[in-house]
Amino acid sequence: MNNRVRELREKHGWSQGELGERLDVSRQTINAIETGKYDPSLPLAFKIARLFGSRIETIFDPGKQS
Amino acid sequence: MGRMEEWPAWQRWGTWLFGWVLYAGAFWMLFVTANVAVRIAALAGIGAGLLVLTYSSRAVLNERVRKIDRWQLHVTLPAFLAYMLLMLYVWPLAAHIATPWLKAIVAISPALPLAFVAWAMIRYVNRCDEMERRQHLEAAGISVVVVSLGSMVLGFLAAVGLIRVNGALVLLFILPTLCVAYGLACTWSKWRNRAR
Repeated sequence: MNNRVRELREKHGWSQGELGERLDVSRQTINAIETGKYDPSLPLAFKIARLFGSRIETIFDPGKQS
Repeated sequence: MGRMEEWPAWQRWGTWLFGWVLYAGAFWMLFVTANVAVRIAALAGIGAGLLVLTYSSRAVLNERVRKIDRWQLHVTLPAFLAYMLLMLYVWPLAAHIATPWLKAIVAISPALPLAFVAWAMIRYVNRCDEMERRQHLEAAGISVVVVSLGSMVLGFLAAVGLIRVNGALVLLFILPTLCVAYGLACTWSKWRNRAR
């Protein structure tokens, strides 16, 4: 799944660690989400969307659906 | 000084290495002498080593130490030290006790702090974030496979008379082997995701 988490984080001037603290997750989890190695759960995705003041579908793109 | 995860890499790795040296050195000291004062110093060294390792092992992965990490350390460190004390000074008494029920209580007494550590570990994992819980699940699976396969291989070799195994010793080594395999699998999983 593609996402804009890194772009939005950098726009806010936060490090991965700072974003992790705000979302109450580890820095590694933020890194894994940004690099597409890990897809967050729905509650975490909503939390991310709320923090950036965006709609969930503008941050996460599931790509082509079969 | 700032937070440890913001230190230069050489300082974080140096602290981590120092933690291991302290921990391993204290462990070695504990078993080479029966002197009570030296053993108390060794236990303090083990405690200090675990403290340094808890902080530095997160720092080398560019992670901060969170409230749950501190909680785990504060809960498991006294339990681990209690286990060491019981193993050193209480468990050996079992061999000299004649009353069966008292002998049994003394013999299994070190299992009590370990059960507490297991409870704390479950609570810790439950309070980790979702990706960390997945890493712990993978590590638990890997450690179970490693230990059960290893036991099976030993069993096959023992059954055909190629090796002789001491049943009590094998049973005693199941938990430490599981813990080491679990720790290595966890480290491997976290190491893969260490990049920024």
